[in-house]
Amino acid sequence: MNNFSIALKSSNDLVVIMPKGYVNDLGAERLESTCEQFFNKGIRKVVINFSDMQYLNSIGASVFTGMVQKTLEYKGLLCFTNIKKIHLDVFNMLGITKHVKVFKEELEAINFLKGKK
Amino acid sequence: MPLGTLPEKDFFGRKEELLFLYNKALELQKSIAENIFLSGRRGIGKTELLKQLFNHLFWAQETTAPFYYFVNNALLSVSDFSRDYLTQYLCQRLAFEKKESSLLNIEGLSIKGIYSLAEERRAGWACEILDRYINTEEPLDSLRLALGAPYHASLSTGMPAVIMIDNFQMLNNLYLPDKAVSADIVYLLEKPIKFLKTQYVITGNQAEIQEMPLSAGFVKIEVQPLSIEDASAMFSSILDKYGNRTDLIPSALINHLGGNPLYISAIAKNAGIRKRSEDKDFWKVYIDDIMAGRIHSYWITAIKKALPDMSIRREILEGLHRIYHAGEPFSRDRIPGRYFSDNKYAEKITKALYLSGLVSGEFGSFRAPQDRVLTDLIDCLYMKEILGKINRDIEAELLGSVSTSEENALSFEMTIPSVKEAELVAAQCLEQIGKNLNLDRDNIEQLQMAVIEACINAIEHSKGDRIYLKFVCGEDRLEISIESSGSEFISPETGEPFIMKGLKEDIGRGWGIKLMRNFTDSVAFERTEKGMRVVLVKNLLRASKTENKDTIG
Repeated sequence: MNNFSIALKSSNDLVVIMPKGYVNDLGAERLESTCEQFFNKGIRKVVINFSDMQYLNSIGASVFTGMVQKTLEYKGLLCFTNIKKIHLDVFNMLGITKHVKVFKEELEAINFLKGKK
Repeated sequence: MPLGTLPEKDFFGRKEELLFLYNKALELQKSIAENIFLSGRRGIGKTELLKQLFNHLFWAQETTAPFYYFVNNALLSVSDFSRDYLTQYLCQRLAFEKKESSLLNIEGLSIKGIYSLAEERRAGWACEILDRYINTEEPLDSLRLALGAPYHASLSTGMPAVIMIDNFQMLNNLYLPDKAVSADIVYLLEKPIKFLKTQYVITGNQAEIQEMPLSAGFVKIEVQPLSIEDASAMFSSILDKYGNRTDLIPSALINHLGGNPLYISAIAKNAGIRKRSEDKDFWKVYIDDIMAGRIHSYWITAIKKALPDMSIRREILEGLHRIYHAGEPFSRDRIPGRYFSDNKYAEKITKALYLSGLVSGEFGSFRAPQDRVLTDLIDCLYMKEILGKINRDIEAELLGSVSTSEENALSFEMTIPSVKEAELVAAQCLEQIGKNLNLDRDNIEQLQMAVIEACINAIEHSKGDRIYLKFVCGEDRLEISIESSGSEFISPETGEPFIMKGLKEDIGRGWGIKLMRNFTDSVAFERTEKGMRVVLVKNLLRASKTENKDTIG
């Protein structure tokens, strides 16, 4: 089954990752590796726009903890935007939101990151 | 019908099981003998299935000899049992030779009498078995000979035999003269059940047979409740016999009876006698039966047999009522204090309740059976014996509870394949159900999250290829059950799921259960006849008060 895809928008030092569909273990691992690829290219500012993420399961959510860990290792900045309340509740439960900035809209996150070095 | 079975047209919903057992019996010709334990709840129709199998084997073929034996509670001395077993076997075996159904109905035939019958029919093999029996002095040797008779007959005649033993657990109570009851005697069957020319099909009290070590030599086949369609057809057919033709049998009542032929038959007969045809009349008949009819008598007899000590019945009734409404499993050590006041009875009571079918759970984690009729009966007894209510009040209360919970409930059922990401199909359906019920967005999404997790668990642990979902929407709550054939992720002690260590996914799985609990009002894990079931409940009154926010501010 193929219920997951990723769309990307990137500029010089910033990338916006848009997961679409169902984020389970496989989907979250693809997100994690996509994120790591940009870190390796020297892009450290990452926005994940969840507006097209329809469903999330517990394994998918737990993979995000690894992504947060990678961000800390690469001294990057990770922002979540356009996230549904239910998914935010899940990330809160897993303690993920303590390590990321959460914005309502993608533009707010981009403006926030532009001001950062 | 030689064994007093139902006419084939009135035997509903068991054609597949019957054909399976029939074909298994015919495989004996190829020396393939698979001993079978027909398991199932009280009243589910195990005895009738066995009798139907006998009749089919008796009339429809000539290569495998059938023998049906009901272990009579009154014949528990080894000598009485041996004589009865041997004479009945030889009678049925001789009857099968020339399809003489009159021989099947002979009662209390003596050894001399059966000898004469064997001689008349020139059945030398039968005379040989009887000669040996007559010349045996020790009761245990007589028992060995009687139990081995079908095998010896097979060797002599070349014809294999299917031995069907009903009420099998009573063999545990056979005793020798001058000795106490000895469960060891049943081990004498160990040798006969290993012969390749004979196949044993046993049934009886599910819990008691499961506790017999001998049952390890049997393949367990679960006799399932009747489907809604078959249950309705059975109900209509019985009504029809009483000249009560109606298309108005309430489906909620049929559903309430849980596909149990004993219950269906009792209520349909009662309704037929009273010529009831209105919806509310059927429910009234049901309540009357719970209060003082066939179902009432059936369970009262079972309760009294399980708990002969009158002095503790009242306390046990109170405890049972609490257990039936606790909505959680309990282990034996949690019974005293919580459900019964006295510790010293705990083990004895638990065992008696389990063996009588009043609680289920063979691995020490007990719970109320999935039987709404039994729950109503316990409620009825509780109101009468403990609360001292009068019949009119009990009737009104029971009628109120069944009508509000059943008639106002709307249910959806679906089956999904046990494959990765099938949980999304369930989640999508839930979305539409939620919209139909005007649930707010938050609650739909929370339930979707919980259902996704429950389905993933079921898919991961299922041994079958299907997951069964049922959504029951009442006025004030939504109940979702997810059932699969898996059974290995429930702790026998706590009834809670195991969280294994060492696997990467298990980190997420542990969270899965936390998520289910966080986003619903109750999560229950239950063992079922199919395997296991997770039941998620969301209270909708509380749900309607929550705010609706799609995204964070």
